[in-house]
Amino acid sequence: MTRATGAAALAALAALFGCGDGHDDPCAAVAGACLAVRVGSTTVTAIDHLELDVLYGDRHGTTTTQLDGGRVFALPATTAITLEPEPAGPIAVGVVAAGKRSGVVLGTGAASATLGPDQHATIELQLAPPGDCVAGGLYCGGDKLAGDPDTLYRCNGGGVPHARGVCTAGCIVRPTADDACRGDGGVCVDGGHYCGGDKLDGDPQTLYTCQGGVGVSPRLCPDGCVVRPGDDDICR
Amino acid sequence: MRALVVAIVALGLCAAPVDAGPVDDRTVEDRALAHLDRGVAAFRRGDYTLAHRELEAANRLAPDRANPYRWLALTEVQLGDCTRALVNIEGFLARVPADEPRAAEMIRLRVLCQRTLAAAPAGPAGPSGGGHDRPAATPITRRWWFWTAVIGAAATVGGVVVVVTREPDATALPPIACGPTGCRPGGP
Repeated sequence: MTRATGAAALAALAALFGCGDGHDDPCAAVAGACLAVRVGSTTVTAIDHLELDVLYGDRHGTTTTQLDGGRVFALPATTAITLEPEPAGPIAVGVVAAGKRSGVVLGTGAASATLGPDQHATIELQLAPPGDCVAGGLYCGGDKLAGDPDTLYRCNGGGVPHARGVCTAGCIVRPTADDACRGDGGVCVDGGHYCGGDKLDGDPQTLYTCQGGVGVSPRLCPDGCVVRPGDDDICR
Repeated sequence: MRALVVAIVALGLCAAPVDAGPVDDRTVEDRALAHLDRGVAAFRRGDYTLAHRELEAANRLAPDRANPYRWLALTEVQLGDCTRALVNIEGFLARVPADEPRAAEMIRLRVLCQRTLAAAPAGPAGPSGGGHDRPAATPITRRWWFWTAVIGAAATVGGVVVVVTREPDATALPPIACGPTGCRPGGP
């Protein structure tokens, strides 16, 4: 058998079994950066809403995708996440998903990937029964809720956990208090203002005043907290 | 070493019955001994083709002598011709007493050749049967049907594996676009 004949045979086999034609790639028609999300579960068979919390760089958004009319659909399911504008460089994208049916969360899962300009990536989310987090509390991923262990989330009793931000120095699980991002980059200066995780432990979307190396007087930043090296951090 | 070989050859020739022939026969016997000597020397060098030619000449000149049969058998085994070697083994054994020391060697060789022939595929294994003149059998991988069968089998097995393990088609949900103000359903 010649090499050409062998290649033709392999191509025929691939075509026969539908390999590599990309028919189920949700990013197939996207020209720019795109994250393909595949959602499956061993415990959840069908849902009618998929709620997603997406953390990309220092930004964050939550939305829901569903079939027309909110019809029930079987897992696995796929969707695509595009970023606007295109990322200028590699950017970490963390996704937490909650599969809902009739308003009840049946399972949650999380995964992350790095996406560069015009790049496609795929993440696999496995929905598992949701953890027993207390609504409104802050938790590291994996501590009573689904998510990345180095990301802090707010427990959303009726839906997908909301990401607060990536903890660059790690996420601290605190059994008797809210979990927090560990302070990174040195010791805070008394009287200075810092986002949680920037030189003091806390929530990345909360601005604190440094006092004795810890954050006091927390102020929530609805649009996020901006770290400014060499200057006080501010709410966006 | 050469002296030893000559002595062995002479001993072998002497082991056979000796006719009280005319003077001319002794000359033939001398010529037979010369061929035998050259055949044994060629055998020692590993030149089995020449050895066979010389030993056959010795055998033709002195067909009643036992030793040429033995050397012919040894040479034919080296040439891979067990069929003819078996004939010469029998020729040797028929011409020596049962307690002849070299008889045991020939009997072992006979067993070896018989096993070899029994294990060989149909058809003669050595030159005596003309097998060496036949074109080599076409390797199975060169047969026209071989790769067709391989591909067919692979396709069948692959198809079964795909059917058994293939996940159900995933439900395609509307895409999501994330921008500076958050995420919303909607494609690019």
